Amino acid sequence: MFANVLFPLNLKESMGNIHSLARSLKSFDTQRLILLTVLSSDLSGKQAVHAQKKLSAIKEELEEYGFNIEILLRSGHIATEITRAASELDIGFICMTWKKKPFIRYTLMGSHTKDVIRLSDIPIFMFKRSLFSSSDTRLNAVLYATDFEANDHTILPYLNYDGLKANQLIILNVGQRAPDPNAEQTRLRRVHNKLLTLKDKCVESFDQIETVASIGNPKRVILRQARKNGADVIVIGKYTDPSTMQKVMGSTAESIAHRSRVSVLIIPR
Amino acid sequence: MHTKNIVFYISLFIVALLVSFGIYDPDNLYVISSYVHKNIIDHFGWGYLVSVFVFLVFSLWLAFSRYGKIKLGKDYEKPQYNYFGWLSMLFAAGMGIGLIFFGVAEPFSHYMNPPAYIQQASGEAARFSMQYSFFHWGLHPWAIYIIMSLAIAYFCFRRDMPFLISSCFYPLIGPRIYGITGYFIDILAVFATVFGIATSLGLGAMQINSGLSEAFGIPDTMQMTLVIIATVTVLFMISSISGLDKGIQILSKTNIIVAIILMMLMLAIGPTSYILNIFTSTVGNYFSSLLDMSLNTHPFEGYRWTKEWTLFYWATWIAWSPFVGLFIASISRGRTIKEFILVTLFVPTVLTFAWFSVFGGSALHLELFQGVEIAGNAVENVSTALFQVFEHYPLSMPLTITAVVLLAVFFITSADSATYVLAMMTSRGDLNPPMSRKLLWGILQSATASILLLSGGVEALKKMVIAAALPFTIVMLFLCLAIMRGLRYEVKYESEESPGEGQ
Repeated sequence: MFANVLFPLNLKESMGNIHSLARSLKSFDTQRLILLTVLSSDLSGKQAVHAQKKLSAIKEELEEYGFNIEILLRSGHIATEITRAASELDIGFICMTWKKKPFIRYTLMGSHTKDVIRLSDIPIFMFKRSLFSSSDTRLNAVLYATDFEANDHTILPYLNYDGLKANQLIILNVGQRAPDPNAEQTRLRRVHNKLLTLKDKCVESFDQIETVASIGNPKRVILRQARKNGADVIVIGKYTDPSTMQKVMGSTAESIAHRSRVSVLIIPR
Repeated sequence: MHTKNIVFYISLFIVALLVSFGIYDPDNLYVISSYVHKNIIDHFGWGYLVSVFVFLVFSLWLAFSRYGKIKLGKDYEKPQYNYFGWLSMLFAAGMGIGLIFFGVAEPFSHYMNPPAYIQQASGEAARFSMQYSFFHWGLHPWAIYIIMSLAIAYFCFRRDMPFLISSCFYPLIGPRIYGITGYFIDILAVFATVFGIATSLGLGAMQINSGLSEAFGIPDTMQMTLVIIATVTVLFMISSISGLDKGIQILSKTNIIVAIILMMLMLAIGPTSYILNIFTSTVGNYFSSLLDMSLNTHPFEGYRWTKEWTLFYWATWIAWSPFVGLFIASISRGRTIKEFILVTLFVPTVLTFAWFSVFGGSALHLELFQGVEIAGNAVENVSTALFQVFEHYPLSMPLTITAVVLLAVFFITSADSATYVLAMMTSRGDLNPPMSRKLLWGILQSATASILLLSGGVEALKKMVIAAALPFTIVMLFLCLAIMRGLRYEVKYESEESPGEGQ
């Protein structure tokens, strides 16, 4: 599941961040790590030589974690090349670091990371900050935002994966209020039953599981609940066939990945 | 104060307060309401145009969407009223007196005072006057009413919520509809209804007086107008006591029959071919310019005209929408969304177009081809415009008497339906409100109309009602969202029995 990882690397990324990510990957039991850099220029130019050197240096540093590391250099449209490499190399997930851009720059130039989330059909781990404090080896809390659709079936194996074990799991559903009080009662009953079913399926992997049914704007509620519960990772599904509105406005997953202060694991349906 | 009656008591207090203000200081009330009204129209006029266009597009989309099959009631329910009864009541509540009042006056007003870019009293002004009369009384007002009534009918008849506008907001604000937010919405609706109806009744009584003066030489005075209001009050109270099924339905059917007779009579004795030409060409102009008229505020030339007419109308229809919406909803139980929208949108519109073509067309024919210069006089004295036109055609006396009867019956029907709606709104949405409450609101409406006519506060209150249309426009945009949420939930989770909520 997390054994083969594609790590698209911005050559300006700080080594501190790269090490921090490597420690997290180690806890996920990652074996094979593919360092990928996509250049906009030709692969025979100076930039490619520089990139090759830099990647080799990073490879050397990361080998101390015991990963089997490969280097890959490509040129073209960044997000397309990353997702193409991911599907060609049969990897488990793409791991990316998030660099916060100023609002104007983000609005004008967009974000390669956001493009990768949109284009990718395989899971993406959006690394925001170190998952563990120096003494811990276990996550404090994981928040799973569910919509009870087919995503649950895909995501449950990830939640129960040893590497993602945490003291607490928060299973959150953000829905919309039903049209009348009776229907709302029925909806809440059904949501609670579904949450309890999910809880039962995760009970062996977590010490404590909390279920939360909420209403409102999913993006805001998920981020608020993650903050409130001190979650280290938000796990969220993503539709591979988004609605017209999502195509225009971006999906919930894209928005959460952009706005969250903690790492986000996005799993396409 | 018992919370059950909170809407009733607060509404009563606000009505009393504003009426007192209108009696003791009508000038200041006029200054304040004019200031609010002017600023709203000046700054949010574009918002009215966009919102009303959204209501029209949303209604049409809803009718042809998969939600069109959903019933405004339980699946097994059948429509309570037959087509004739239903359409008669729709039309009487939605247009009523206004159509008789403006049937001649509005085309003449546009003909004499078109926007700056059209030459006054020209052929182009005549074409424009008919096209914009169709526009102001056509699909758009009905789209406004549809949004309000559809939301109420859906949430109340299908979702078993109380028959109140606040009920429609459950998907958006949940149990807060039973608190201050809900009370605010319902009180705003009562306020708009009381003063909207009071001003309309005032104008209606004045026109009846003018008609009686033309036909029988009865003096056209304030005292006579008050006597007319008192007489009509007694009549609509009798109708109100008989209830919706008898009183209003019988009156509405009478209205339609009399209106059609009057229209056919005028068509026969008036310039028939000319009227039919006007109808055909104006329908063509209307539909070919619908998008342009819907969104054009004429910012470069003619904005003042748009403010005085189109924006005034849009705000008026929106201010009327709580009353008309609640009434139309109450008579539309058991119809499918598609049937409800398409019939409500197109049938009254066609009838309105025919009305304007017949009366407006006959009036314009006098002015343009018979050398009778009545437009200027009609514009100055709007309430007599229709009767002035009758004078120049054969059978003017029977036409005038029929028009007066029609006015009186429309007057009674409007007041009766408003009384019913007000009593319902202030009885926690009881579809059979207590008789005492109906009587109280009936007397209060007529008293308000009389007092405001006497004190000269009608204009001020009219402006106040239009100012109330701004918050209601926002309320109605949220209503569209609430309707969508409700319907989407039903189709997604209740028809397929598929639980859960998605992100």
